[in-house]
Amino acid sequence: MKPDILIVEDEPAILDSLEFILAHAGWQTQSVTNGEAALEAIAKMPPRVVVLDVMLPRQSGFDVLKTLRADLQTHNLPVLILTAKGQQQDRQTAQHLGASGFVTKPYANTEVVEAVRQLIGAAPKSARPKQDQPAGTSAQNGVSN
Amino acid sequence: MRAPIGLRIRNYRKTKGLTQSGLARSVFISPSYLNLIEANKREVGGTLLQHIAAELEVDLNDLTGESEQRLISELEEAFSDPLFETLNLGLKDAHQLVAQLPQLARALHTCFRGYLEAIAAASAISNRLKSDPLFSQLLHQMLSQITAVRSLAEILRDVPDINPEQRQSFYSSIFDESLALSQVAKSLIAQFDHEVEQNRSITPLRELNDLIIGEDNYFPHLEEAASQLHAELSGAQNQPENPAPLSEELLTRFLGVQFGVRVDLNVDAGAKDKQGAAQFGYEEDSKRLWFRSSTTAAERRFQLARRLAILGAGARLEQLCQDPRLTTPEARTQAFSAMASYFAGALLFPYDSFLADAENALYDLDFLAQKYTASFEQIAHRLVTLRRPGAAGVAFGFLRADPAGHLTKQFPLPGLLMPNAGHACPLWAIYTSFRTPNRVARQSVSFADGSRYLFIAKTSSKRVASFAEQPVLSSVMLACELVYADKTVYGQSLKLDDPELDIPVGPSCRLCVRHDCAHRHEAVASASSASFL
Repeated sequence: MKPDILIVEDEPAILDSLEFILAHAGWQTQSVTNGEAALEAIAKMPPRVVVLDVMLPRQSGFDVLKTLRADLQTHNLPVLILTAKGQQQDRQTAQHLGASGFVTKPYANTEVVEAVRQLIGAAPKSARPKQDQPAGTSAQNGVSN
Repeated sequence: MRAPIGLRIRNYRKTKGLTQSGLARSVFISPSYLNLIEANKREVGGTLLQHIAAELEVDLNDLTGESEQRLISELEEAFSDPLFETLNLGLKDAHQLVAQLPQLARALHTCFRGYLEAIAAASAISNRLKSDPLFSQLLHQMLSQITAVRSLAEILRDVPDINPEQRQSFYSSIFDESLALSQVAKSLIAQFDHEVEQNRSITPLRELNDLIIGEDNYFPHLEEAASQLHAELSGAQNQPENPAPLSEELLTRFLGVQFGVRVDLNVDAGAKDKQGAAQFGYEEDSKRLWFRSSTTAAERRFQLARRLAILGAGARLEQLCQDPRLTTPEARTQAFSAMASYFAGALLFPYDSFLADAENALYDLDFLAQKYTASFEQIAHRLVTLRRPGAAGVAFGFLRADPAGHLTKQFPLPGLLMPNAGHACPLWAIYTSFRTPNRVARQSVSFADGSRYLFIAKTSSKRVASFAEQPVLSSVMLACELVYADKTVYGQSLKLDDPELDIPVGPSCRLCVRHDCAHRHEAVASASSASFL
């Protein structure tokens, strides 16, 4: 099944939390830990949005973004950049390379969810994982919505 | 700028309740002459000054105001900082503050030093944060770990029905990330501390200078120990007034017999890669002291004496380095090195005989260098240390510069404002001597306040350069008040009584009030200095 979101993040704890909150918001997620694997995964099955950390091993998130924008197949693929350096220069670089959005660590979980929602719209309610919908629980609970 | 010694004598006399005629009688001068001294219209020094100090029961340094003069110079330099720009403070204000409120002046100086240190630390941290990959990496790690902890904590707070296995996994991750975050924070703090230490404005060198100046560059215990060792080495126990010079062979033999040190000369071909550009070196493990063939005889002799100082008087040197004025290991290390060199100088140029030779030769440094098989710099350095109370030579200040003009070593002369770092006035002989290497350049100079000095400088090379090697040049300068110039060979042919013939100079462009000087390369630090004129 085509994933909604490809998460590219090498820090295990952050990756776990992103997977959880985005899945909890109702999206299908796929995760990789480096840029090379990200490009492979996108080539095989492009997601609806890529959540891309900048500081990756070997190939930075900016390098991955540059590659995506140079390819006609992925030129318009929405990419949300995550960075630990909220400096103006990184923001300008992201904009210059064609990033669709920019979130600075440390972030509130709602920031990431809202940013993704702005790029691809809300997740279908029926797609929410079962663990978030115990019997009788309102769909309004949880990290988002 | 001269210390107002006459005013100080008058103040102390009045404090003791002595009349002018009473004090004059005690020191065997006329009341009218004492009156001229107190009005700063006559110089006073030497034995007369010592007698006056004794009659007034004050320390000679307090009477001459040497420590106060240094404070005045430091405050003048502080007032030129942009921090005080709008206050229009200058030399007159520094004088007044030191004279009327000396404790407050010292407090202000201490605060300014603290301010410089804080600025230097903040600047260092800012620069390193911007450019250092280690800091950048540490900060990135911290932010990533904080992100993980925050995000996971939010999940645990906001998702009450999370399955137990996942909840436990997230708790473990929070714990692990918090632990890692603590380690990174400690590393970052340690790195900050290291940076602050490295960028302190109160550098180890400045602490060492404070110690040396505080002791007037005279260390009696080292002199005594060096004198005893000299007697032992030269077998001149019965002729202390005419000790024989110590030859290179004697020093080498003594090092070998007493300490098992092997001396290798002419270490050259094939050794360059190992030793690099150094002229000499000491290998602790093998106790081997080696010299290149290009090392001068003066340098070899000095380094042999220095090694003797470290091995034979190491404990005494270490004791000196425990002085509370040296607050860091780096300062104590530099002090040890400086004291070892002091000891070597005292050993090679015994105090009494060297002072006698210096006075007989009218402080002709080239003559003394030849007599003692020493370099110009070594002789100059020894002359500056001839400060034994009651048996002192002419008071000299010492300065050394590299060909780029940077001041690399100094020992100040009270009253003569020398920059702590950077460049001095481009007209000083220390720079003009580079144009005529191996020849002594001399000049009589006048500062804007009317003070006059004799400057003597020579540029020389520390090694015997071959055609293939660039000579390593440095310029060494001695300075003394012009009133003592006639005691030197350099002042003999100068017209010392005509200030119009002096070269008009300043301490440095930043602190100089001669706005129309054609050699100025930097603006005056503040307009306040003009108030002095």
